[in-house]
Amino acid sequence: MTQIQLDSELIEQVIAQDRKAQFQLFELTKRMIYSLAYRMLNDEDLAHDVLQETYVEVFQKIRSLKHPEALPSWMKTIAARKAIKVAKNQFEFEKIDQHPDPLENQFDSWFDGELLDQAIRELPPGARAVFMLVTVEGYPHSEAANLLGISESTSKSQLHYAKRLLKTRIQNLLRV
Amino acid sequence: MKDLPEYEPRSNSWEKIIKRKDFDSQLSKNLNELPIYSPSELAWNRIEEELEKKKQTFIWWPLLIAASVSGLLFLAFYQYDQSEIQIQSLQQADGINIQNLTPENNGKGETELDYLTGVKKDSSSYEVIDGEKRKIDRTKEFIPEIAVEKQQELVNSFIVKGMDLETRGKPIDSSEMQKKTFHTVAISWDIRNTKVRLTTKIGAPDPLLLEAKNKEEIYPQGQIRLGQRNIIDFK
Repeated sequence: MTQIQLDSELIEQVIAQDRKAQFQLFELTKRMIYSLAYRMLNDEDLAHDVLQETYVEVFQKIRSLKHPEALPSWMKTIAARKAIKVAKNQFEFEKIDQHPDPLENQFDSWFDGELLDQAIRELPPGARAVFMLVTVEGYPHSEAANLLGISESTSKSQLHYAKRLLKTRIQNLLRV
Repeated sequence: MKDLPEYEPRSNSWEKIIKRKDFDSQLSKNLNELPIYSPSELAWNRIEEELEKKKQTFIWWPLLIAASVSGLLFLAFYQYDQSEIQIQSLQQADGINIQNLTPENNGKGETELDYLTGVKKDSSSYEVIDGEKRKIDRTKEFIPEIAVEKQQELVNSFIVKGMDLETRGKPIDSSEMQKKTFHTVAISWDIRNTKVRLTTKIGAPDPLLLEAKNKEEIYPQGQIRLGQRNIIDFK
């Protein structure tokens, strides 16, 4: 994912509630926000709802943003929060089996981004949310746990579980 | 091509390839190559509609807040006004200055009036006992105002029968004394009963002279007694 650089003048215009500037910001960032929401929820309609709610909140609260250069990551956090709120009832952070993974050292396949994305979207909602926040978006475990309302150790074990499932799913997808 | 020499790769080349095949290595590389999804074309229209809706509702909020605040203020003012009228009517009916009974004055004022007993309490007295400052509830005597006339000029000489206080020891001529009559005025009151008793005797015998006679003194002496509970006004 490429980092989006936003013009400070554009941000100032968005803060001034200029509709054209708002649309410009939307055009520049919509893929980033929608991809995050869609990957977390694996549902187009829900992802669109999250996208809409995210931009409405961004345009309403942008005045309170202390560091305008942090706008893209601020927007992502809002989107992640909205997605978590939508999928909260789907999250199940069941106790993960702590036995060593038999496939730990046996992964012997090549995969690309497309295949990885498909495998991510097939993960269980809870594990997918942790994987998206920690591995894809780069949040530390403490922050991800805080966003999801779980403990840091649960976040770590869920990430481990997600990676184990990804290996299996990628190999299954390659066999198909 | 046939004539070109062949080169041997490094011995760890295969290991490096295998390492790149590692899941975590592939994962970190492919995270940057994840597909990007685009929302539908109608997404912006929905956002714009929502923003317009929020804008309209946002305009009403301050007005609603202002209206409710002003309503509350009006109610509070009305309640305060009603209580003021009630206090004034009570004040007129009882003839007592009730300003001192209000909580504001009780908190700030130095004295407070007990409405039931008519006694003034000094609430601002403190005493230091064992290094600790303690409040003392002292009660002052309630002294009713008897005269509201203009203060009279104090007389330099006060003549009591049989003597002149200024020139002590000098007896007054008996012919002069006979022309004068003496009035005894006694004013008494009690703390518990707010009644004021006024007793006047015209032409009563002089108690001071009688006292002097009883003591068989040569020259009569003037004596003004102030009781512990009573104050005698000699206006």
